[in-house]
Amino acid sequence: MLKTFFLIFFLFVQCFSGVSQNISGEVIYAKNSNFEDIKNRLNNTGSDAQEKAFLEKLNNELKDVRYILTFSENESHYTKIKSLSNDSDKSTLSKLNLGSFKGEFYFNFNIKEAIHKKEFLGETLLVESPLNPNWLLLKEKKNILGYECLKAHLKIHYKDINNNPKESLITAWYAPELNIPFGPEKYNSLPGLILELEDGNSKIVAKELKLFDKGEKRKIKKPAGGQKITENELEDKARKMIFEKMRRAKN
Amino acid sequence: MKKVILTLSGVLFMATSMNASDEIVAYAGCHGMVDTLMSNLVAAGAYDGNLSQAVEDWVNLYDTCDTLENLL
Repeated sequence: MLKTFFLIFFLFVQCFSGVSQNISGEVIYAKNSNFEDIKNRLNNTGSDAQEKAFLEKLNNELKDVRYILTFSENESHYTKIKSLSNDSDKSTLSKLNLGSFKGEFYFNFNIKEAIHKKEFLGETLLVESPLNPNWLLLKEKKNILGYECLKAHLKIHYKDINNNPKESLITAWYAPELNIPFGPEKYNSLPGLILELEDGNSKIVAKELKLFDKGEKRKIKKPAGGQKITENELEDKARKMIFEKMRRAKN
Repeated sequence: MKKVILTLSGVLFMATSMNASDEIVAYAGCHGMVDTLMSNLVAAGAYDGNLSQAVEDWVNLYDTCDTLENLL
């Protein structure tokens, strides 16, 4: 019994000490959104064809949006790659952010800190994001960018507009060979770099991966200069504002 | 100018071939259309888990309506 306990403890310690592998680099991800599920749900809200046409158009505009994840030994930084094309060439639709990630995400695995810096109604916020330690590790494998990746599931719990508890299933593919706990958006803490992630409405896939030599390490800066707030506090604040807008719209 | 107006009105599902009087009539319902669109998207769960983005997008669409009003 005692031997088994020590064996499990040893494996546990090995697993987490290995996580901070001494490598740094960057990953370019492409994100594609799919609003089919939302379009189907719109059928139940009695909405007409206009909203569906809107989503169809948005679907086409949100294809292959590029993001970059930069990571060092213990920290990572994730943000959208600025497009070189002139914004005036795009339709106004692309200024909407349904399904896109805005701002920058910082994660420090050592001190277990995750911050999403973003703008909200003209104000800069530093949103404290919860960590995701409860991944379910699966045996399914596939190859991404030449790395063997393993599948993992994560259940995310949140409240909808009516404050009803809901959950969604996130699927990630991580590379144990790249033994670092980073990934796109707010997803992290797997025993390997996340190279693909699916959240129901969108899919994020790694397109390029660069690993740096030890002397070439990138310095990752923790976001600063904004009002601190938790993710739940921000959601509650937004929920109240939406209710007010909906109430006014009805009148 | 016409192109700008048409681009802005495109977001509100207006046809790009409409004439000026159509645009004025369309603008009158601009905020209302935004309210309907956003209310339905929120109700369908399009912003679940990211409601702050819904607020931002709602305000951005209102701004588009206001820009359209100034241009007209």
